[in-house]
Amino acid sequence: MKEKKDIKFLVVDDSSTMRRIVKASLAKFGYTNTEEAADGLEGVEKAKSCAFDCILTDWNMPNADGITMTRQIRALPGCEKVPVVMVTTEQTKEDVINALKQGVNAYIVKPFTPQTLCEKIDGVLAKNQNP
Amino acid sequence: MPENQGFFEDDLAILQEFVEESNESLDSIESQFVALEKNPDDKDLINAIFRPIHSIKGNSAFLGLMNVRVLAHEMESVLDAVRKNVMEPDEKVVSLLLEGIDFLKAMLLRIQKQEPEIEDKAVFENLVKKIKAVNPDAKEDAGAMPAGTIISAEDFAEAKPEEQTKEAQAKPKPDAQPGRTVRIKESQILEVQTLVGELDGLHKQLADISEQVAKNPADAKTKLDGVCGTFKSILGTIDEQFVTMQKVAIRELLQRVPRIARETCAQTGKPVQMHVKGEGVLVPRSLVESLEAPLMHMIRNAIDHGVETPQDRRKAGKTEQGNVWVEVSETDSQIVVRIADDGAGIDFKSLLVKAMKQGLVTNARSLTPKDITNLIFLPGLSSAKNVSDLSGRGVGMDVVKHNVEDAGGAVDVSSKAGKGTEFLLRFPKE
Repeated sequence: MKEKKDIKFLVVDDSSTMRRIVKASLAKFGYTNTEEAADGLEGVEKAKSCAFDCILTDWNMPNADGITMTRQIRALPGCEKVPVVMVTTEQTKEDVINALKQGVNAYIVKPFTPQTLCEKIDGVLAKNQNP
Repeated sequence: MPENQGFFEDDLAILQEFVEESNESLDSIESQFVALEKNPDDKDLINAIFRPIHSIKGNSAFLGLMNVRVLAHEMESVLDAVRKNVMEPDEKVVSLLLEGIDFLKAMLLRIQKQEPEIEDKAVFENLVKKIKAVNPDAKEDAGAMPAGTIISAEDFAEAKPEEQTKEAQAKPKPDAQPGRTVRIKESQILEVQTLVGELDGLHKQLADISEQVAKNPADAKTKLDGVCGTFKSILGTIDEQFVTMQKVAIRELLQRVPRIARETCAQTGKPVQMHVKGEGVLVPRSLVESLEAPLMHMIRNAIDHGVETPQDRRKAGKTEQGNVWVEVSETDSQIVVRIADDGAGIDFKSLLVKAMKQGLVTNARSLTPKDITNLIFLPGLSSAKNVSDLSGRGVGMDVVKHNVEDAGGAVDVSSKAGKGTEFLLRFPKE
């Protein structure tokens, strides 16, 4: 099992403020290895060149939204199982079901506390380790 | 209060990022609203406007900015209704949303100064009410987040605007850093860092020379001269880097042009096509500030006085829609701003008569054509026949000239009867 600081995250959000908030939340709990992407397209590009342990993404973004990006990343060789956590304000029942159907592993509604985010991530990572 | 509300409100770096990002995105969508009015069905355009408002709403909750959140939420709902074709983005709706943007900006400014988000609660509530009123989709509980998150129920807490506001406002933010912040590319910082590294190298050389100086003064001098030369060139490069860092794209200013034009067109009833060019030109930040008031004034002038009424244009054999150009360009040494219209041109005769009446000119015969043109820059003179609310009170062009000259620039005007008027503002680059 990797140490927390070696677990590599990709944070995808078109808002630079939100990327900072997510990164600060992760760092609070020892997850310091993060990369950023400003939209789904950049997210896919980054995923091509690097193996991430977990991807945190917004839903509504320009160029490619979080769902489209998840689908494209999952189609990449080696990325079929990478855990994707959706961090978003979209929160109707339909939204959540839709996202989970499209292969998102967990769903977190903004605003969240760093603790909630990290607990969710711990859960997703543990599940990925021992499916 | 749920603990997750405003969890990051004491994180000044995030607060600062929020203010900057929000301001930037609000600036950029202002001009898109004007485009939306013309192309109400352009989904990409609506989405481009929707997204930043959506982000502001989402981010504000983390920072305990509940009033920002409430207003952004109402604006987002209206945009969502437009997106779903429930309502048309007509003039009234667009004007209201632009008012919302102005209010958000005012709040951001106050937040940056560590002041409470809103000054006058009644004004704020009135605006929220007005926005809600135009929205056929508005829900009674708008402003509070709808419950209904199934999976992440534990992540979700009901927003409590009132309570939160008081608390957020009462709490002083430690280590405040008011004042302006500047965005700098990482590559530029790295370049300066490299240069500092070179200076460090020079420091080592100097230490060596210092040791040798007693032994071999002549050799030390030669070496010192060499170090001096390198030092000077590095210093020059660092200085250049700092000048570049303080430059911004004039886009910041030009993206406000469509909105000013739209308002003026609405007030005067003149259809005018704006032609804006040169958004990418980099200028010193100080120039953006000193250019703002004169530029906006001259655009209003060009539409209000330069361009004729549609009837007059038709009579003159022109298209009913007038044209106004706002172009920024650069030469080796200058930034040039051109504001031109294809209107009737300045009525020099009536300008001269007015100047004589006011005793500003005594001997008209002694004036060259250029002198007459320059009369428009005299305080208290305006060639406008009707003094309107927009311009033409004679407080305009003299102030423009003054502002431009204060910034080290110069104004030139040329005008042809029936063809139009052109103003050229030239500023030194450095």
